[in-house]
Amino acid sequence: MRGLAVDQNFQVPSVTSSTNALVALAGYLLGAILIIVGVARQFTTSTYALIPIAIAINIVMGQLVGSLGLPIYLDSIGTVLVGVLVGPLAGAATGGLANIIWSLFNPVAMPFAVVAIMIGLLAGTFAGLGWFKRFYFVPIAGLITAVIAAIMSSPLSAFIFNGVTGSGTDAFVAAFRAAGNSILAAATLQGLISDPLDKLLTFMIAYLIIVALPSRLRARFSQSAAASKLPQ
Amino acid sequence: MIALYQHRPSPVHQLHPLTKLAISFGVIVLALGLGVDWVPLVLYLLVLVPLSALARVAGPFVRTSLRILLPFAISLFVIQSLFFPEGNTILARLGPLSIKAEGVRFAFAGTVRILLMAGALLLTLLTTHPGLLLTGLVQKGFPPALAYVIVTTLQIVPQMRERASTIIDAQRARGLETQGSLLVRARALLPLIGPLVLGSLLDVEERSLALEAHVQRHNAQDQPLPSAGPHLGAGAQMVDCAGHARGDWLPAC
Amino acid sequence: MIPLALEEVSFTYPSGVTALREISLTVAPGESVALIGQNGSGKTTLARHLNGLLQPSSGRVMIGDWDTRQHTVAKLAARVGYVFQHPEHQIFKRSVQDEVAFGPRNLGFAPARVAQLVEQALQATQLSTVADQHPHDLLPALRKRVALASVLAMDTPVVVLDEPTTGQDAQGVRAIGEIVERVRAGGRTIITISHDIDFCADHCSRLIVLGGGRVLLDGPRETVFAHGDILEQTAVEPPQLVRLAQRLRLPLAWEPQPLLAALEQSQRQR
Ligand SMILES: Nc1ncnc2c1ncn2[C@@H]1O[C@H](COP(=O)(O)OP(=O)(O)OP(=O)(O)O)[C@@H](O)[C@H]1O
Ligand SMILES: [Mg+2]
Repeated sequence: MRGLAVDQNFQVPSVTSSTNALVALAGYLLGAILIIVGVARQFTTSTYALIPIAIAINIVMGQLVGSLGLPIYLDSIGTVLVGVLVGPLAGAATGGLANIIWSLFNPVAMPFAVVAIMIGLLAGTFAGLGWFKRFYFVPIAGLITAVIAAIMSSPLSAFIFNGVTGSGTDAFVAAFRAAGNSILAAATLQGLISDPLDKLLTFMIAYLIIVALPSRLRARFSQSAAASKLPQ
Repeated sequence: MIALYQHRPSPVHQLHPLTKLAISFGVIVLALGLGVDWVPLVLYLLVLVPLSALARVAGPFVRTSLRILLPFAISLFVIQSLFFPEGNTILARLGPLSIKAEGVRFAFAGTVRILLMAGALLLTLLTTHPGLLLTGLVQKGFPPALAYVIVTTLQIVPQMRERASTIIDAQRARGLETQGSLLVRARALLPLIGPLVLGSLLDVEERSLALEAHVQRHNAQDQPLPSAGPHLGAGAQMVDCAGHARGDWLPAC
Repeated sequence: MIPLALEEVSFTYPSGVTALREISLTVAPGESVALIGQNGSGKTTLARHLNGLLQPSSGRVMIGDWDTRQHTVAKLAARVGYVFQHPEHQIFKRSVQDEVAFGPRNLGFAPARVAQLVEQALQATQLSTVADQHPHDLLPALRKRVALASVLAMDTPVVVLDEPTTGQDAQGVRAIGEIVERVRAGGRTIITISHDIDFCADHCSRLIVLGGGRVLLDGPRETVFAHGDILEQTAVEPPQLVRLAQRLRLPLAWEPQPLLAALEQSQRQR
């Protein structure tokens, strides 16, 4: 920027250039598209009927929680439900498509598609490991998912959005920067603080909903591999 | 729900959806690839804004891009100009804090980058009906079934929103408090989420029956699901296909 | 037991549609009132004013000594129970009895009282045998009764029923009718919104006819059914037997026995 007396040798160590942004954007987007298209061909029609409902649940839940004025999002409950009830690939597709649809309203959400995919994939994987059989494993699954999601989204926040998320949790970014952390570190730490509560609640609510499923719905999902690993 | 789309008679609206998408990503790649701080701002002002004016959506274009940008811009300028440990050129002091030139420059670079990315994609979204955009993608190999999912979702969301507000009313009428302390509001979550998710999942049964019927009909005609013909009209067909499934979505009143 | 009063209530939706125009009426404790009128005449809008889901744009709604503006919906729920049309909009528990207990628990009743109210409500709706089943595993007609039971268990002096008979077969309609009679016998006020005019004639002693957001007619069944011309304005057709009696120029009747008696009497007179 002209007009500012900037140190000409200014090369901030861990600070980013827009070329990094381009690399991050291209990599994450391409990855997301390949995953979504790659997993799509193997679903049954009933899965295709389920996914739109799950995505709509994500969107409407996000708004409902916002209207209650709670400091969480819960906007991946549908993704987690599909992951657990149908399987990791269906969960991944739900997350990715939900993100594409959200991007139709707010295009800056687009780069985060891979993170949404990962949440669905992890939910399905944990269910496959039998972690949804017992209530006390569920919060652990939520926490692990939160940590992975935070680590995955921080390069995007750091390189594309220069470290901020545009929400209230940026107060944490400010604190970590004030303490001398790099942009990437501050973005990562921010995610590690703000994601766990949200993912913990998301996973626990998904569990409670699955426990409350009437038997005619259980019958529908009983063909899936994950079903035998669900709570009774 | 047609997202951000604004219907106007304009040459930009007439362009093939994929052409517009290519322009959007081209502008983003150019802006980021050059690696110069002010390039995104120049491209936004000299390319995107004139194009939006040509498309007769300049008002919504600028408004929406600023609305998206604002929270990022505030965070960036506040945080990165005040807390920038890597910088050493102090512009001003505010008590114990100092504004550093490198931080301001970094915040500026981020802000205009976000503005450009949001703007480039907004231009396509504001001037392209989602149905046509998806049809264009399907022609280039995007799986039609996924396009079906996206179109169906766009149709379901408004109904789901209405359902959510009825559920809130029904549970408040049973004495559920939805205002008050954090604990009170948190306790309201499950009674609201439960009927929303259970009711919607139960609808899946009926919807998937409708979908299976659709598949059979199309298999009979030897067409993939949902049919996406070689011309743009197929977008309307997809919307139509989502429409049937919707017939079973809410109980008739 | 408490009275209800609407005082010059008008209501305009944010979209600009005026759905109620200066409605004034009172309902005494223990009355069984039907709100009838064509689609869009304002029945649901009026009913939603009774528990504060909607607040009047002008005028006021009194539930006993409470002005609805001064109390939240959750508080008003202790006085006015509202059964929504679709049970799917409220069910979230794993068993019928838990679902039914949700309302009374919200009202802060002691556990023993909750248990007692739940049992009474399940008995009144003949659901005791399915108390442990998942509400969603029941047939739709029974699910509707679960919604009814979950409001009855709140022991409110006033109960509002929105279209209680839709989706019910003849047997289901009869069952709901019996429930309504049982609740009436308990002295509670019942307000029924319905397009099922036969049901209203059978179970409501007073009919309020709405049209275009105004009260067109308000009175006992016999008075209201006598105004065929006004009923026609709001597309309400009197019950079959009433129309038969009118054709035969007999005193109005909506049940077979009185109609037969009137018929015999008129023949004797001839
Ligand atoms: N949420 C709303 N927003 C805007 N207008 C509404 C809303 N709900 C109802 N209306 C309008 O208010 C008027 C009265 O509607 P209301 O639902 O009270 O009628 P109703 O007598 O219950 O009809 P129905 O027999 O169809 O249930 C109608 O013109 C309707 O279109
Ligand atoms: Mg109505």
